[in-house]
Amino acid sequence: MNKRSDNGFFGEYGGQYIAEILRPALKELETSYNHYRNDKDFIEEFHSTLKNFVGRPTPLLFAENVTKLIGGADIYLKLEGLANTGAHKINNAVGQALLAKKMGKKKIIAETGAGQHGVATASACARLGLECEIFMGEIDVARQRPNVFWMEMFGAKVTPVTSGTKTLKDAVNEALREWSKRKDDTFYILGSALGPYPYPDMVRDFQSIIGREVRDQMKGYFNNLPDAMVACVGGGSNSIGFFTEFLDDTSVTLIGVEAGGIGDNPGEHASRITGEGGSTGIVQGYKSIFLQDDNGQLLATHSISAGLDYAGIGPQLAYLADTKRITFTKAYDNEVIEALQLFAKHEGIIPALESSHALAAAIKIAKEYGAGKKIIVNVSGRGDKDIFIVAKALGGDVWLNFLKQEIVRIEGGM
Amino acid sequence: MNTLLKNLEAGINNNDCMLMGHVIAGFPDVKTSIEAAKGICSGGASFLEVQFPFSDPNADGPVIENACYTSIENGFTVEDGFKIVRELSSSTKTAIIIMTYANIVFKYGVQSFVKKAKECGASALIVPDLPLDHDEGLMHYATENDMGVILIATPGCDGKRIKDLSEKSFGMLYTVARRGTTGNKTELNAETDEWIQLVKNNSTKPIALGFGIQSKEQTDKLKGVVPIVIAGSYFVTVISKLKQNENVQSELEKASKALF
Ligand SMILES: Cc1ncc(COP(=O)(O)O)c(C=O)c1O
Repeated sequence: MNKRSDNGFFGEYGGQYIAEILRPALKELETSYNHYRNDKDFIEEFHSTLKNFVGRPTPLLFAENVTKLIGGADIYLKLEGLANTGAHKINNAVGQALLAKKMGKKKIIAETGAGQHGVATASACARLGLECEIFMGEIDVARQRPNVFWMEMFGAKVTPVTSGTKTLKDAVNEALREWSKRKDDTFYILGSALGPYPYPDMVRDFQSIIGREVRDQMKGYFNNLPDAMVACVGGGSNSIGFFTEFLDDTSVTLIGVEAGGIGDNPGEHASRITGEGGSTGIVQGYKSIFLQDDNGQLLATHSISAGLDYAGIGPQLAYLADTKRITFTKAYDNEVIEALQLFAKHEGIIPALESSHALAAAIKIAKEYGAGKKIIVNVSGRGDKDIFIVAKALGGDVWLNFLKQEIVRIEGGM
Repeated sequence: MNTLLKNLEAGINNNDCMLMGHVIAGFPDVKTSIEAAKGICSGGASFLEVQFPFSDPNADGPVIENACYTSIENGFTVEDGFKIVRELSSSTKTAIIIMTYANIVFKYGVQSFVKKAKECGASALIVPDLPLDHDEGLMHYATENDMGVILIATPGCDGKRIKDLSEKSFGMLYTVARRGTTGNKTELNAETDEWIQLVKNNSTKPIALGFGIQSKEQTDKLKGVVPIVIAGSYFVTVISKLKQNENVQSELEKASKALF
């Protein structure tokens, strides 16, 4: 199977639908990326940075306790959350930041939703000595304060975006606007496997380290292939990075999990493939499946996880959904919290809310597949960042009282 | 003959400095946007862009962006947009140009959109994120319907690209004076002069210069330099500041005349 785009397209999806002002920057990126992805020194530098700075390889863990508890297929977890800054996002951020340096760029801009890509980008920029500005929806700034705090600690400027729905898609718009204002000293580090060509190819390539490590590590547990692999799908970077290595192994069922949110009505979810309201569109530089109304306006989305709260999906994922190579399902907010609790309690890990979507689906799939089968889940990030959201969702006075007392302590200067 | 080509020819022959105005369809509501547009037309605009709002207008700055959100929130539909175009093209001499984003056209169906635009009397289309090599057949269908697509040249284009764009562009070459999005005043300085000169040297069609035009002082400087000036955010700002009981049409007519 062809894993790269053909002239920027995956079937009918992808492309470079951009205003003239961004054309020179994208052409330059295209040329540079296609050169450096085959450059021995660049590849070596990328891999040594992944090893020494990111902390790769991340472990593959057999979730023995949950497997026993469920009594179904064996569940293995790829722990991307153990990478520096807590999610797979750093693989791509480091790759693009290194490329930016090679291209002689001095300034980095990026969008972020949950803040994981922002934190990863800010971290990579701190490490590589690049100036960094992160665009983040005002609502996300408010609900993901800890990540804003760390981005600023890394020396990045965080600019709240007040337009539109004030979330991830608006942060992308603002980053594109800023890119069109800047001179050619600026590089835009896009955080998922979407946007105009060559981003979907480039982000996939940088993230494909995940699946390659899995192929190697699973030999420590079993000899043949897994029966299924499961990953959550926001824009699609962790899933495509996890799946790419296995696309040709057709006996492996690849399962993408979307955000089911709080219900199936428009505005209540972010299920582009499995929900109502998804259809082909051209938005933010690429053609793919978007949640939109009959007039072509993007619909509002909802997910308990900011990282999956986006109306579009990467073009390669849309293509692999059409061709049925990837099967899609969804997990609702409440199932996500339950999965998080289960894996925390029995495996001692704190998965990110995004990744907990994959875990919620995996629980069902493990039961369905039954004993003797093997499934591998990509736990794309760790959930420390979600403490405020999870504590709130679980209710109770303890956390509320803690916050109240914390305010007293801060104001009292204690 | 296509109204845009007719108006263009007349203006060029008279050596006029022509105006291209801009309204957001359905901002603040359908009726007001029609009256405002008529004011801009009677104020002397040879061309008028009617922007069909899109939820994610990432080539636009805050003024137009916010107007688009208001229109969508007030229930704007693409059919409303066509209704506005029909009304304007039948009641004014101004050439009506539909400006919008790729997804609005794509979702409607590119061929159907162009046909409908023609039927409503539009002269041309501007869709910034359907560029030459990714236009989904837009130019083909437009040409088939005795209309055209106006292409946009922006700083960063080299001479060859400018030539290419101008050859394929309909009637004129829409030229953006500076980097960035719509809104913000453009300083007409040495850098813009140099850019305009590059476009003039390479374009095979008359130049329409836009982005950040908002005063007579600027248009005075541009007289004799370019045959067409575009004012977008300027008009949208005037419309957004209209007070109740004000006569929309005459206020916009004044605003239009104030530019010259
Ligand atoms: C931990 C984690 N997983 C998944 C995602 C979703 O993005 P993608 O689908 O690109 O992997 C995010 C996005 O912020 C994230 O932070």
